[in-house]
Amino acid sequence: MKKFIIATLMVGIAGLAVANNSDYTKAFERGTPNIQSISQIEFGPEGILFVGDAMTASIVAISTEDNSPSSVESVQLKEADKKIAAFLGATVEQIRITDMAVNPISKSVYFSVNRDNQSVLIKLTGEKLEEFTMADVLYSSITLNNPVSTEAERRGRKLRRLAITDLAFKDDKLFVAGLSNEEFSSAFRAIPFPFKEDQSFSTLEIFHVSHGKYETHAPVTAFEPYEFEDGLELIAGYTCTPLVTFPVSQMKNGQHVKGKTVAELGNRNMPVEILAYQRDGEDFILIANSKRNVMRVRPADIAAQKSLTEPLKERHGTVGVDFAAIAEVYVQQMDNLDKNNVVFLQLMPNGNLDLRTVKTSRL
Amino acid sequence: MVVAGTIKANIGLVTLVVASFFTLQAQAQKPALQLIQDPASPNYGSVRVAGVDLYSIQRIQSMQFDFDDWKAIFPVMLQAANTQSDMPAILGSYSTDESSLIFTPRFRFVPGLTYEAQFNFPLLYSMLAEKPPYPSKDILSLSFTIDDLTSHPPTRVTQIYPTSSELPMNQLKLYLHFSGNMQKGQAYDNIQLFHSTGEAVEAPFLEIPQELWNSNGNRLTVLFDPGRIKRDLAPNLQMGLPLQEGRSYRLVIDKSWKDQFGNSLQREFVKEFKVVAVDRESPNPEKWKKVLPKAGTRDPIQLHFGEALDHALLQRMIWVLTEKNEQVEGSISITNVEKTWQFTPVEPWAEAEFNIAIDSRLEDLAGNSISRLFDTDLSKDTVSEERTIYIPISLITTSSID
Repeated sequence: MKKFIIATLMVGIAGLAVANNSDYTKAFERGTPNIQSISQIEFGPEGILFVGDAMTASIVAISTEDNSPSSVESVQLKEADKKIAAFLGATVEQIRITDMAVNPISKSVYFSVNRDNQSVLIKLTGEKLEEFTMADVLYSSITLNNPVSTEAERRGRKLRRLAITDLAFKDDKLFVAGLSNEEFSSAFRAIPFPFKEDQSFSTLEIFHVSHGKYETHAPVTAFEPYEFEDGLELIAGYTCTPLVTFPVSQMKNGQHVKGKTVAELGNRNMPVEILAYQRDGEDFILIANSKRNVMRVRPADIAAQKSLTEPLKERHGTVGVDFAAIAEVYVQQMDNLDKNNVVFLQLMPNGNLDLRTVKTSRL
Repeated sequence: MVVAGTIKANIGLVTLVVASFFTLQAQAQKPALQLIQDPASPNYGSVRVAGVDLYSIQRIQSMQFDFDDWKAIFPVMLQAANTQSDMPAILGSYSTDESSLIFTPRFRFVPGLTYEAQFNFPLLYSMLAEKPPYPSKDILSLSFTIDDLTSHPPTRVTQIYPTSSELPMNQLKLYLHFSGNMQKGQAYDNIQLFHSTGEAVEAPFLEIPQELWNSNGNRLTVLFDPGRIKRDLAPNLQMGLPLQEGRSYRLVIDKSWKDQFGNSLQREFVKEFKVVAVDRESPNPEKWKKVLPKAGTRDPIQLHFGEALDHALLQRMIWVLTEKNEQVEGSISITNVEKTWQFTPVEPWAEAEFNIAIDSRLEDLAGNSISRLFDTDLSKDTVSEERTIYIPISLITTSSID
């Protein structure tokens, strides 16, 4: 996931040829992080890759040292799943691609892949696949479990898993949405980066109100930080379909933050990725869905939308912010390549899972 | 175990094909491709080019080939029959010993799949800039199929929680326990819910691509679609709750679900249950009945909730503290269709004061926690902060029932 704004910032920083001693990586250590089950990956500044590990409920920031700027404007890999599976000596049934992220500097595409219940990072440059080994790297990590449960876990209880559903880096903060395999929670975390030892960070429960009547919490499946005129907000999609915005300025530790429900995008569907992009100088938000078309929304419409108050009764109907249904379906992963291009990992009509690049002028 | 040539060994069909483009000249020592199958190793084995002369080995070592060089000389691939063209060579590491070049795959060879290894003799010597020990333009190739030599007991569903045969209409979670580690990504194809009439329930579950497995990979959490359970959301208004009060259902776990070894489940698993009224009340520890042990014994502390609570959360959200706030060592068991929690200490109980500590995030079957309801009616309900609740208890030498 993906962030065009970060991407442009990155190109600027890359030009300065930042080495390992930047403020971001100063506290990194060289070694082999304990990463067991990658659910999400996300690039931050300077080729730093954030890796969300479900098994240890932690985020590891790895300096990929993959910092040679590239101006490649298109990446593609037909039958990406078959090729990645063959590269791992297996067939597609035996692997799972859990996430994809484009390094905004080198334009290499990173995939987190699971085989035999082990996680591996695969890097695609041109059409060449290689493993990005997580051994002997510069890294720093932070655990996401809150103090109550870490206390309990230290006393011999087994670690809880947290399936990390999305990560985003913005304004030196890493935002993390996760889904517990036990309690039904909407815990959302905003972690200052670089990580510090024994760092406290905001864990907040985020709520949305359905039609002014029932307040409810639920895990966020995908989100994107976006700078509106009134400040930074998170645009979040839920397991239960609403699209909700949250002002980042209200995110204080332990607080109960209420979001504004701006749309219901249709049932039996879940947003899988959200990103911001530009077309002809205008910003748009792009939402990839599990069972519906890719949708395009104008941030200005989100800002102008009042919290929904009228329940929607028509089956398969939608309500709230206007969106355009783009003629792209079954996009499973997406990320910004640069300001003019977006990369899709998409199930094609012929049944293949292809990696392809789409110009933002077409979206 | 070393297999070479056209031996049909008991471990499976292994054939060596020498693609000879030119007439072979008789030589004493010629390299040969071999599969070393070792089911005990994490990789199931390795492939080697055996019979390489020492001088060549030393030259290869001095070249410090990278993976790209190696895979040009000695690629190991899934056989074309398994894939289409332009498939990459398999990721792995290359090494040498005194007479062999060795490929070890990064992940184990998969039983049942056919692989092909090649050794490009002329390319090696061209990269070494050396005259080959004998003139040959051979490309050796070895095709092999891995048989699974180890036997794995078939995996089965051991339990589904809640175990009760009555579930509230707004039931939120199911926990599926397996006797072994399952393959990921197949869950939602293999879990089906039927009305007692045999008709399938439409879209009852939240299909989360990540699939919510525990660390051991043998317990899956399945959520009923919260959008259908939450009042006033579009899916709730349009489709209603997945479960209807008064009706009976059959939850069927399909036999075709594969475990980590690719084997199907031992048998289909069926859970039948009846649906009762919605539960919109938070669990209330003040109403729980406590049965306290006598000091000096190792009898359990029992908490009777009067309703079933979440099986997974009960394992870690209630614990016992000493006066000094230290956690008492012991074991937890959940009985009476998850309506009872009991804690048996390792050491006999001291005659002392204790605290039963309860995390207020403990949930009932409908996802209502002690601190708040699954969905809160803003006109009526209040939400309390998450906290730890302490129930002080005093253990004495005669049994007491609160």
